[in-house]
Amino acid sequence: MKPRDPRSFLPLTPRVFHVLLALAEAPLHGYGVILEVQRQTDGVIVLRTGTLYVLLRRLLDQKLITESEERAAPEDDDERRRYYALTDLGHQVVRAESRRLEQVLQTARRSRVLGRPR
Amino acid sequence: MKRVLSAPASAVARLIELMFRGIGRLAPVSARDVRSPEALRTFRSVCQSGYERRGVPGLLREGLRECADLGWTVLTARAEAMPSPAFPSLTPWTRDLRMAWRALRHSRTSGAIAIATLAVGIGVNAAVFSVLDATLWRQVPFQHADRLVELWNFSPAQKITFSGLPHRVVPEWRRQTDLFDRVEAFGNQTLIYETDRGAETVEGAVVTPGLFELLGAGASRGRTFIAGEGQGGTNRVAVISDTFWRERLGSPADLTRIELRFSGNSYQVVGVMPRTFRFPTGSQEAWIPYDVEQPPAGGPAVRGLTPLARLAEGVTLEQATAEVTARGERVAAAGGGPPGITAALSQLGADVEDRTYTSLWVLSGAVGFLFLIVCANVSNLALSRSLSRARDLATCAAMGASPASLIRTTVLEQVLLASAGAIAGVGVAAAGIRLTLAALPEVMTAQTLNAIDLDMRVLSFMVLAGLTAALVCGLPPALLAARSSINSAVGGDRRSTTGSRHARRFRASLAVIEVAVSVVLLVGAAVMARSFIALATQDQGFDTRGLISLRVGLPSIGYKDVALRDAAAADIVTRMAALPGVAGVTVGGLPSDTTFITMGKIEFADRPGELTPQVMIPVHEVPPNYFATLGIPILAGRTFEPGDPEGSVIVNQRLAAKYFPGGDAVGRQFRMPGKPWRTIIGVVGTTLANTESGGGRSEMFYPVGKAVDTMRPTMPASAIVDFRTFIVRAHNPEQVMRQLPAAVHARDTSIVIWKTALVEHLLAEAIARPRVVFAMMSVFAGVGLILAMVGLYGVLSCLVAQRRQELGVRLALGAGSRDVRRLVLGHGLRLTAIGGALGLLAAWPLVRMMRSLLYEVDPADPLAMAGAAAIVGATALFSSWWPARDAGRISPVELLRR
Repeated sequence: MKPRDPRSFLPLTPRVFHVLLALAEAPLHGYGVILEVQRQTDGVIVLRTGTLYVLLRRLLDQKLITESEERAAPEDDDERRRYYALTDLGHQVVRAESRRLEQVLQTARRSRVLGRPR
Repeated sequence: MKRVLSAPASAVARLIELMFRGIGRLAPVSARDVRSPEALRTFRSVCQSGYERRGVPGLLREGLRECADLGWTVLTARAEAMPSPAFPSLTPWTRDLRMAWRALRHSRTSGAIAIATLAVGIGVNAAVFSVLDATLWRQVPFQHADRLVELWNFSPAQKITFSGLPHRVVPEWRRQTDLFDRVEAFGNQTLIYETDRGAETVEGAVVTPGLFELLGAGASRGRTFIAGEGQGGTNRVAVISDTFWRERLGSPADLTRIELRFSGNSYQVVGVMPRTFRFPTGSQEAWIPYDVEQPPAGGPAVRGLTPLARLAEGVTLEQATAEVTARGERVAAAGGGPPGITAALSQLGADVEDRTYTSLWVLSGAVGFLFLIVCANVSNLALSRSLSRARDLATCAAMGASPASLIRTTVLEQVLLASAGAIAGVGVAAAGIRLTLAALPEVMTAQTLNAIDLDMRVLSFMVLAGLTAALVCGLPPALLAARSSINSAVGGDRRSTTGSRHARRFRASLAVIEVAVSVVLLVGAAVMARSFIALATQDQGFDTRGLISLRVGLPSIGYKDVALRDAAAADIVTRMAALPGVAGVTVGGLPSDTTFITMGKIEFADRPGELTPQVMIPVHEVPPNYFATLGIPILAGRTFEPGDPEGSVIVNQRLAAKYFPGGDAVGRQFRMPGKPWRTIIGVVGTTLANTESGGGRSEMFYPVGKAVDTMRPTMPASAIVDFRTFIVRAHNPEQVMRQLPAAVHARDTSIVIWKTALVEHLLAEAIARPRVVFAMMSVFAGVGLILAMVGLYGVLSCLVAQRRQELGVRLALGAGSRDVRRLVLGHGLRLTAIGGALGLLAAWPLVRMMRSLLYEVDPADPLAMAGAAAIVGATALFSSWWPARDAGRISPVELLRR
């Protein structure tokens, strides 16, 4: 089956984008995702357990993420935990979204929303 | 490293996790991951981090937010899972919920009535019981409340208890360490609050500096008093109430700069008490320290102190009561108290005035009955709704709906209804408590030490009770109907689709109960109404029309001498009399005011050796024109005249009749042992002493300045040395009232105007309590009656619907529509008659409990009973009429065509 075009997922909602971004570096468990998203967004987006797992289920179903065998450093590993990692499709989608956002940013610069372009 | 949860924290954590799991269980398949062990672990991590940052509050905060989020997630997931109508893979519960919702919307009127009924039941009960709880049941909101007692004077000879001890007695009680841990004291005091705009009076109290600590009450701003305050030089500090701080001072943040002038002295504010602090009563707005060990020198001694003590550990109230009475006289003597007086104690807050107590109980009984009607009505409405839907249910059953599903729909409908009723009930309660507080007179609420507010425990209890009642009362009929409809659908019996025999009986008995309870309420209200009318129209014994009463306080500076005060009063009388529209002015207060009393056994000149038992008689000091101005008739003899011999006295009719039954009291002599002889020169009419309980009492009148041998109320240490009350009769009282203060101040601006009021208003105020009980009872009875009639109407219209076929056949066979009408009406009236009779029987003993509230009305007042029965009969006839008319209009032809 032909893989789905990554661009068909765009634009992503901020939550989905940040969850994918959080998993881009390394596989994480659920609580790790919550902490990472909180760090990335300076606490603007606080994911709660209920929301997160419904979201993760959707991403799993869309094959953007997968459950991972790869583990974090042994000292903070809890082996009962489930870890999530990006699939290739997930990587492509997060890259596509980042590019899109970059263009958005450029447009914003050009229209001087952010002050003079340097 | 993980911080280990403390014991309370782990309890909280367990509770929240339970909640989280519970909510998770409701998640649809699409969101099943939220109940996975993995999600639970994440949830725990979040809670743990909350705990590590902020302890238990952090844990609670994070946990509750998690639950809220999960709830929302589950809800949205469910909503998404809700199939479109074309997609029949509904989960049973959601489908039934939708069915129930639709059903409710269909029978909107009866649903709305049921919700409103429930809301009224819950709201009114929560409001009234909140007040009741604060005033009667809840312990006073102070530390070691069960061990706090107040000490009183007790006269064993006269068997009377009265308050007010000299300050030196308090240290003596402090020495009784085997009885008391700690003894503090307080005394109510009216302060004159002086501002640039003029002086006004403020209720305050002098307290020993440790009193707040004893109560365990802290200031919400600043501090309370510290040891050593209240001595000479440290007594010019004050703690003020939240109301004072907010309303009079405009809530300034910086207390250090607030200086207040009370009664001629300036005080530095050191603290503000919380809004809920009420002590000694709810009226106090300022507290001033007073050290009983080293009182401020120079000031007048404080005499009216009440000691507040904490019983020593292990001392029971009974032991303390016995000991205090045994030691009282010795302790009082050591502290310079009056001889022959010992002490008594009472638990703080246990002292609720009898009438307030009974009034509140009667009101709570009334709302309780109202709740009963509410239950019956909810049940009735549930039944009628179910019955009206019986066809729908039967259709559903025929199309394959399982009985379980039908019952589920019925249950859900009832749950929806109950929840809506409960939510509306909270709103009614919030409004209700405001109304109740506004309606209750101050005599009923000022004394309680608890803050009166909508009590959350009471409210949650009532909401729970309302929900339970709605379910318990609503489910059986609903299920009954559901079952019967299933049976009928299966059995195909169309004629009984509107209810089984059981359902019919059930409804009829509900209507009977409703009628009975509303009769009880009506009888109560009617008796109160009769009593209130008798009170409001009773003859006061003097002419109240156009009378104004004006009370002034004479400052101690300039009015030390009694003769000076009398002279000033006489001068003010002359000035007031000169005002346009004034018909007469006198001084001496209303007859119902008690100023002086004389106490002892009376001895009569013409019956030597005969002594009456110990009596206490109020004495008034009045000028000669007093009786003429108030319109009190002189029945024999004459009023005072200049040059009356020493010892002249005027007595009222009641005293004359009691001690001189021959009717020739004038000229007779009597005295209290050891006092000079008194000669009666006149007998005047008896006036009402207590407007609320009615009746007069024996009274004596002395000329101004001659009541020197009587007991006078002691003035608290304050700038006011004495009070005088002027009575003015005017043709245009409202206008004259405005000019009176100026007339007083024309004599001396330092005289404080205390209270100016129309006497008619004062009398109306005096019967505020019975008026409120009467008014609230009437409202409850009215609401109850309406609900009962709705119930009766429901029963009858259902009956008509049920017997349509039979009635049609009767009409077809030649019965007139009159006969059919009579049949239905007769049924309604029969139910009413049974309910009414039961209600009257029940009312008999219940209304007797109101005896002490009643004035000149027998609890078993036949007029009230007959009135209640008549009202119920008339309204029953009215609400039976419509179903009967419908029955009369049944067209047999149409019925046959169906």
